[in-house]
Amino acid sequence: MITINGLTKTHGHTTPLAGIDLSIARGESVAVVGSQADGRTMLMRILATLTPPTSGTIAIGGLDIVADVFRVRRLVAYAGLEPIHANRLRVVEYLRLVAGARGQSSAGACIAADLVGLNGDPSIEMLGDGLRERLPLAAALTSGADVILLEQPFRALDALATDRVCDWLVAARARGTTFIVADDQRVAGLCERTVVLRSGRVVEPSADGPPDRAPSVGELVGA
Amino acid sequence: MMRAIVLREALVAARRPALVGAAIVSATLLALFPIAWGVRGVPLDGASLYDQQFRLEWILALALLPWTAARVIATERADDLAGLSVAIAMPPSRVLLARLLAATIASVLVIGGALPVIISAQQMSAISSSRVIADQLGLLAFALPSAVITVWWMQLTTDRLVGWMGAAATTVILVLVARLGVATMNRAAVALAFGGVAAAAMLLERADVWWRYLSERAS
Repeated sequence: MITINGLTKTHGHTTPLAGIDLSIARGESVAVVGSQADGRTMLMRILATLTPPTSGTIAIGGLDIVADVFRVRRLVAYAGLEPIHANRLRVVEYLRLVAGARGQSSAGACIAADLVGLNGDPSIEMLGDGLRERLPLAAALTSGADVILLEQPFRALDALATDRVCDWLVAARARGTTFIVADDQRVAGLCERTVVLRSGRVVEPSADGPPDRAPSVGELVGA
Repeated sequence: MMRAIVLREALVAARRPALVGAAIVSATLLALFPIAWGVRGVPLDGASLYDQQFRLEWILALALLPWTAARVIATERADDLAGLSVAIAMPPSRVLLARLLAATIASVLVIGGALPVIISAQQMSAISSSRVIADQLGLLAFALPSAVITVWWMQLTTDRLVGWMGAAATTVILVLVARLGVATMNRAAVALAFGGVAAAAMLLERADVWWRYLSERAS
């Protein structure tokens, strides 16, 4: 599903990514572990097509991430750290926009809001910071994308919402959705494979083995 | 799929009080004109009340249409536009096309809000309906370039006030230039509408290049 060959990214005088080779199969779940300084966020942003690679090639679903950037975006959903502009929309209206623009049923918007513990009715502007941080995650869940990229997805969730989202992700993986979770720490139990980034390089690819059930919050955070 | 983003831009515009406010201000000022000056209008020339009110309508349009568009359109620009494009899997050009539609429709509604007052002036001045229709169609055609100029400006600045002032100044200059080249305001409006289509096409074509990715600073 995702093939990365010789990916580098230079940014001014720094090199956040210094030669990444990685292959991720359809329906696979991968945890990317490392700090932002190790290139974790940059890798996610490149996969999300928010920023182009400096060199190397990336193919998602057989499409080149640079040459076919807008077609790749239809395959990928990204829940990152970037704020969402409220524009006086209600939560459910924003989620319906994402679903509708991606050709998905708008019914998924309410389900995604419930999953992350958001009430769909209030205006986005009325949400506190913590609740507002859940919105990109809900948008990714409602997108129907083949590849879901999650940057610190559980940071704003309470225990119940975390469990619900994990259940959803495990079920989505069984349907063939690929997801990559980037976090400071190991997201044990949720992902089949862990990729550890240090100074922009993969230092420790490992197979953790797929769980046959959704992990609990304790399993997720405790590793 | 385009429907979703058009619906969103329309919703954003409809939720902002500026749209209703601009329509009320436009209609009220036009209605107050005969009250302030009497049905003979400003005693500067021999023009009828309708002629003078039509001039006032143009002056109001030059200021109010960019203001309305700047106030009602959604706020994403540059990096935020790239982020939205990723979130909804739609090129930035589609988002801006929907925004242009919303801004144009909002401008048309402001012009339409003043129509009852204009028709009253026509009745009082015994002006033919065909002339009023031609005048109003010219003004409606002007809604497009006004919206395009404002959306351009709002891509350049985060400040709605700066965007409005820049768009209003640009619009005034272009109207003056167009007026120099053609005999009537209606023809100038049509010429500007063609220019607006060209400017919109250029904006949409460049949008997918300029705002395809986050800026280097943001990434």
